[in-house]
Amino acid sequence: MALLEFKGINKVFTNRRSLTEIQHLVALEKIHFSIEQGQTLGIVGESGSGKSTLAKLLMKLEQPSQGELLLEGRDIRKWSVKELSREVQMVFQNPLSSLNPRKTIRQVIEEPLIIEGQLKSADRRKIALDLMDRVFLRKEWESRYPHELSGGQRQRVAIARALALKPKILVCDEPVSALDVSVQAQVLNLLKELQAEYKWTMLFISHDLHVVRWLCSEVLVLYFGSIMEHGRTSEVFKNPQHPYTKALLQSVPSIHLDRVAQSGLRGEIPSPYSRPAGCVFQTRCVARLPVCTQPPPHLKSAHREWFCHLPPSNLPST
Amino acid sequence: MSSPGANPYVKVQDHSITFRNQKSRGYALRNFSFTAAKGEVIGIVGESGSGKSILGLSLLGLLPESAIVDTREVILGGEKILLTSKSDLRKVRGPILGMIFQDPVNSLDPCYTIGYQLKEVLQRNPKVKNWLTEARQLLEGVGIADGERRLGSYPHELSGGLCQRVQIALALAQNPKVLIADEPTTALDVTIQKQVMELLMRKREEYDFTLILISHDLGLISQYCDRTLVLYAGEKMEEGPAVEVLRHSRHPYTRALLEALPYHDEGLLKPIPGLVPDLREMPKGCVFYGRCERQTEMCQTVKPQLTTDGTHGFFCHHPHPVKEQHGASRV
Repeated sequence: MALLEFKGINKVFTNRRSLTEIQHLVALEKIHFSIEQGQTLGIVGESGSGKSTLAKLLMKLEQPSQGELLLEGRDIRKWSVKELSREVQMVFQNPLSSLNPRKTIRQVIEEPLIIEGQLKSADRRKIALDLMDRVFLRKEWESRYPHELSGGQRQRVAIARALALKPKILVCDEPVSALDVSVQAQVLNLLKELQAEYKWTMLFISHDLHVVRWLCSEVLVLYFGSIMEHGRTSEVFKNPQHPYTKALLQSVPSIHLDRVAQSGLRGEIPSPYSRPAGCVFQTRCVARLPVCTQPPPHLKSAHREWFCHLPPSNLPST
Repeated sequence: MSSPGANPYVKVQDHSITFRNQKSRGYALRNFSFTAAKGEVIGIVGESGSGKSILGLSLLGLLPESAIVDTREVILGGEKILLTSKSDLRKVRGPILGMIFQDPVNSLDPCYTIGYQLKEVLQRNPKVKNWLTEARQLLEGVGIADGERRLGSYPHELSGGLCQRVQIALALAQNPKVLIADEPTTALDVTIQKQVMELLMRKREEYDFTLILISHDLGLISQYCDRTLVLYAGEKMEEGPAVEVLRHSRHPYTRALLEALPYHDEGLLKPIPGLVPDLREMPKGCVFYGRCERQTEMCQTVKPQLTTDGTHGFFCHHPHPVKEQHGASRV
């Protein structure tokens, strides 16, 4: 049984413009995938693609409008917040605003344990200090405040706090995009090492494809609330099938590649209130066919799936 | 302001910026020099705190009162500029030096329509007869299809990518000789980043301005710049043709930055140990001392001088050997 299953999830936000007019914003549509224990799933896509909504559903900060989200085979609606927080923890993008400025870093790390309410204060302190040690924060710093630390150190405090309850799933929402390159490497190394040690399952939301390629075993490409392509990272990056994945990969500047002037994309994400019928990517796709106004077929090959009307290319015959 | 003559097109010589309060004084930029030719794209790359944004702001005279700018010579578009002279600065802003800022939505005035903001700029340009046709053409030129309608829009009604296009149009309205783009695409998605960068490149060919691209993204610099300068803690570390500097870097700092990037599939990354030094207590010798893996005692006390090897210039006592390809290349 998969640890986590998204089963046909839709999420629609309703926005009342006036007494009579209600707008519907489709944030996620027909999201269907599962994650096994110990996998690291990178979720990539532009802003407005629904990456963060996906994380919020899992944290129970939002309810799905349709479909089921199963954690260990049990509907997430049936989990209490406290039960859920033992299994799922989150690391946010901006470490300064996600740490309480009036608490010392030891208090920040201890807080989940206090809410659990099972341990005495001496035991909690010991666990917190062990965790600080684990994320390479000096124990002497326990009574420092978040503003006294550098960006990378703060993000390590946030990771230690997420680890305090030994969760099965860690959700990271752009954890390194606010950090400088040299510091980013420390935090990424730490995440990779800890993942290997604790065997947790990770959902890693990022717009940096290099980072996803380096860290994640699986990748899910989202566009405008729908899954475009999903599969093993090495396969998807080496031989992308969906035109959107191709365009994304082409857009990333790299020092080892020469510039490709063609972008493989036109225009911008359309307004969220006017979702195209059929394939949602048709308005920006350079390979658009007349048939694209129909819903795209679900195509599969070894270790991956994608949604597109175009015939598969360069795939080894199976 | 002197008339253009045998001057280089863009030249900044011994440019230092200090911030001072009652207690202490710190360098944000120290003895920084560079030159650029007409139509060239220069990349300035560095981490936060390296002084790259301060440089752009100082050339436009936009620094706060507490900053002290000390410079030997500044030449922009072939004309000598006195950064201390308010009238020089007024002449520079717009027709000589344009700037594009990082946050596209917040650097436009939220209270006025796009059309009004373009009109404000265009009416100052004596060559423009009819601002409305000019404004429409400019918006069309930066790839905004329904320009007519967008003239009546407010910045909050546009997406980040569109706002950045409007900023480019505003900068181009005065036909600047030099354009500084300070992290122009950092707030944008990669696909939009690509479109905006390609637009900037097309406009550079059309208007023939010198582009100074400030960024922390080494990939972006290598793909779009002719030459690049690597800044660290307010000092220049390495300079040369962008591809050379980034693919065959000589300075240990450039090399360390590249090795910290997740450009390979396996194994752990190599972070740079330690922290950027405090601007108030800079090391006497090389500013990278203490974090460098090639350092010796000499680096602590003796400031390295500029060394050149034909393609690169670098400030280091112990550079990496020539032409050694590094970093796992991935195609």
